[in-house]
Amino acid sequence: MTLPRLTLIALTLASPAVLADPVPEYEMKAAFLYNFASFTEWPEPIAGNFNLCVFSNDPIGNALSSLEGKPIQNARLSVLRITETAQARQCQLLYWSDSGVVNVRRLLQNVADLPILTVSADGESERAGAMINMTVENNKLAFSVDVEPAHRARLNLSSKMLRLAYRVY
Amino acid sequence: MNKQRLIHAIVAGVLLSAAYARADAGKTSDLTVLPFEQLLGMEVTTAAKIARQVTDEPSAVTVVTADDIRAYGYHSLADILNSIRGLYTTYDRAFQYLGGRGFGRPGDFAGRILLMIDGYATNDNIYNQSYIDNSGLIDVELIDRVEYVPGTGSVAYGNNAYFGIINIITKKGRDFGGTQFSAEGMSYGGKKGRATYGNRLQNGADVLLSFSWLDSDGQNLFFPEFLDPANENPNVASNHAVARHLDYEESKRVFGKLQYENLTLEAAYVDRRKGIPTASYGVEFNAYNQYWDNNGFVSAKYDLDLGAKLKSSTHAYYGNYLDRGAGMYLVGGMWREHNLGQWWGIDQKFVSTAFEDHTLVFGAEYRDDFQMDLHDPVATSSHSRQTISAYLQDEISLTDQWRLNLGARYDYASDLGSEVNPRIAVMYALQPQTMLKVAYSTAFRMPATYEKYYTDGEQLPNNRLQSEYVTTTELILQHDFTPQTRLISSLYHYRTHDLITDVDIDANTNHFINVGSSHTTGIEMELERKWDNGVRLRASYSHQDSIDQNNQWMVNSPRNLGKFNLTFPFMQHWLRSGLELQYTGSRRTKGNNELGSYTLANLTFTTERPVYGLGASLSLRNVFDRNYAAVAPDGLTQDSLPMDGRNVWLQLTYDLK
Repeated sequence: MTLPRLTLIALTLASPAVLADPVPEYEMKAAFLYNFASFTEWPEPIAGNFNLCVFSNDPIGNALSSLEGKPIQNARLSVLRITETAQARQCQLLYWSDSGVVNVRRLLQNVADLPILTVSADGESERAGAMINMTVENNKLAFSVDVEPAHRARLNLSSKMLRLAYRVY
Repeated sequence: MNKQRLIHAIVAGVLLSAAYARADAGKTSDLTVLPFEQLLGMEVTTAAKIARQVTDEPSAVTVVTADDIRAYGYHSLADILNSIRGLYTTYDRAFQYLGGRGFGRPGDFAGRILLMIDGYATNDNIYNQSYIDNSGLIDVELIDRVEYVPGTGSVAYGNNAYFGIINIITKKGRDFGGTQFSAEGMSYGGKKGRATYGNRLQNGADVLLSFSWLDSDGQNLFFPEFLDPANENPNVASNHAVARHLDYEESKRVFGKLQYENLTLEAAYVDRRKGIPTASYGVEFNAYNQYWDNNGFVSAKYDLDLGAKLKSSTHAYYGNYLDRGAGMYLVGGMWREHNLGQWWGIDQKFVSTAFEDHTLVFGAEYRDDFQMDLHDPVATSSHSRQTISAYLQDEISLTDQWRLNLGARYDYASDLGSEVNPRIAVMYALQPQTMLKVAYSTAFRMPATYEKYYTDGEQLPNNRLQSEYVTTTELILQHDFTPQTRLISSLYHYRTHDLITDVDIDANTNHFINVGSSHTTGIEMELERKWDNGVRLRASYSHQDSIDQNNQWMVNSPRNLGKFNLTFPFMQHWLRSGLELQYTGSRRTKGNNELGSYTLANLTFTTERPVYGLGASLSLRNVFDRNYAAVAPDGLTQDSLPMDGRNVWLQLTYDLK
C-alpha cells in the first residue's frame, strides 16, 4: 500500500463527531473575573462602584461589557479602562494579560499592599506577582492562586476558590 | 505526475481549503449565572494571540510553538530552526550545522549558538556542538516552544552563547494527559516509533516519560568527484562514484521529566549511528564509514522564595558525550577513534525586587568539565577544565516608558584565564504597542577540545589556542499592530576577532589558530499575524553582509534569506494545512565557487484534533523537487553536496487517555 493511500484511510477515519460548543476564551475569562470578585472579601465595604480595571488595549476587549452593572459585593460592577499604571489605585480588581501591559513590575509596585485583587492571564510565570493567574490548559480555563500577596493586601480569598484552583502557593 | 500538474493540484487544494476555512460563530449566554465548578469544566476556544517572549527582554525573540511544529510537519529541530528569520542549516550527511547572523562557516562543528533544553546548556565539551538533527536530545513532539534569541548571550550564559541562543521549553506531562503512540514512515526507507506517557498525578506531581526509535536506509548517492574513468584507482570500491548503503541512520531517544512543587528533575539520552557516504577525511570511497554519537544529561532545578522580594533558583546538572568514528582507509586499514566528555555543574541564581524600580538578577556558577578525552590510533590525551562564573544584571524601570538593562558576567576557566562580558541595553516604549531597543554586548567562545588538542597526524594540536570574541550592536523595533499582529525589525552589526580557524601549516598538516575575524551588517524583518479562525502567518526576510579577514564574502553565508509560513484549518476545523516557503540566497563555497539560490516549498496536512484518539500528519518536503546543493565542509573532497529532492513523511498518532 502506498503512503498516499494510507493517508486517505487515516483521513477518512477522522470523520466529524459531535462535540459540545466551546465558549470563546475571553467570555470565559470575564466570567472567571466575576467569580473571583464574588469569592473574595475586601477589608472594608465597597462604597459606590466596584471598579474592575483593565488596560484599554487588552485583548479581552468587549467581553467584559456583559459584566457592566452586575451586582457584586453590595455594589455595582463598573468596568474601567485605564491607560497608565498610576490609575490602578482606584480599582478593586485589576486585570492584565501579557499582551495588554508593558511593565508588570512597575504596575505591581503601584498597587503593592493595597486592597486590590490582582489577576493576570497567561503570565510568563505563574508567579509573576498577581494573586490569581488564569491559563488555558487542555482547552479549559484554569487558575492558580498566590495567597501571600493577597494576605498582605488584607484580602480574604474564600476556601471554595482555593479548592477550585489547580495550584495554591 | 509532472511538475505542472502537481503545482496545479497544490494550488487548487490550497484555494479549496482556504474557502473552507471560516470562523466559528461564537454563541454567548450569560456565563456568570453558572456555578464556578461548572465553568471550570467547560471547553474554551482559545483566541489567537502572538506568543510573548519569555527569555531575555533586550532581544527580539522568535517563538515557534508546538502548534507550529505540528502544523508544518517539523520532525527535527533543524526543520524548526530553518523556519526562523535569519537562520539556515547545512547538511553534510553526517550532521546538520546551524548558521545564523551571516555566520555558517562549514567544518566548524561548533554552531556558535547555545542550545538549551529547559535551561540546561546542551553543547558538548569535545566539539562545543549544538545537535539539531537525529543526534539531538529531544523529539520535537515533546517540545512546547522553541525560542530563538538572536544576539550575543554571554552576559547571561557565558561560553558558547556567541551568535544567539536557542531555548527549548519542553511540554508538561499534563499536555499529554495519558499515553501517546506514534508511528512514522518517510522517504528513503525511514521509519520511527515513539511512546510517550505524561500526566499530572493525584499528589500534584507532573510526570513525562518518552521513548523513540528511528531507522532509515538512506539513499545510494552519486558523487561525480569520485568518478574514475581511467580506472586509476586499484580499489574497485569506487563503484562508479555511487556510495551504496552508506546513508543509513539509527537513532534512539529517552526523555523523562518530573515536576513536584518547586523541584524539577529532567533526564535525556540519545544514541545515534549515521553512515557517512561522502568519503570525508580521505577515507576510501564507498567503504565503511560511520559516526556513532551518544549524548545525555541529568538535571535538577529547585526554586525557592526567600521572602516576598527575593527568589532563588538552584540548578545542578551532569552531562556526557561520546562519539565513536570508524572509517576504512586504503592505506592503514580501519581507523577507529572515540572521544569522551563528561561534565557537571551547579548554578545558583537570585532574583531580587527589593529596590524600587530595580530587578536584580545575580548568581554564580561552577562547572567542572572533568573529562575531555581524545583517543585515536595516533594519540590519546586527557584534559579537563574548571570554570567559575559570576553574573549580575539589573533591569531599571526609569519611567513607564524607559527601561535600562545593565549586566556583566565574569568567567574564569582553569586553562584559559578570565573573561568579562558586559551588556548595555536601553528599551523605550513609544506606546504600549511599540518598543524600541538598543543593545551593545560582547560574547566569547572557549576553544573546543577538538580544536585545541585533537590530532590524527594531519591535524596538529595547538596548546596555546585561546577563546574567540564577538562584539555586537543591535537596534530593534517591535510593533504590535493588534494583539494578533506583530512586526519585528532589527538592524545589527557584528565584529568577531581571534576567530578559531583551521589553517594549513604545510601541504600535509593543519591546526586551529586564533587568526580569523569577520564583520557582518544585517537587517531582519519579521511579520507575524494570527486570526481568530485559526489562520496563522509568519513571514521574514533577512539580508546580511559578512566579510572575513581576507575581505572576502564569508564562506557559506547567504546574503538573503526569506521565510514564509501560512497555516489554516479547513473542512470545518477537522484538518489543517501548513504551507512553507524558504528562500536561501547564493553562497560561496570553500573552493570559491558560488552555489545558486533556491526556494523550497513544504506542504503539510494534519488532523486538528484526534478522533477516537487517532491523529495523522502528512508532509511533502521540497514539493517542486528543486535541485539544490549545500556548501561542503572542510575534510570533504566535494565542494558542494546535492540535497534531497521531493520527499514525503507520514505520521500517525494514537492517544490513550
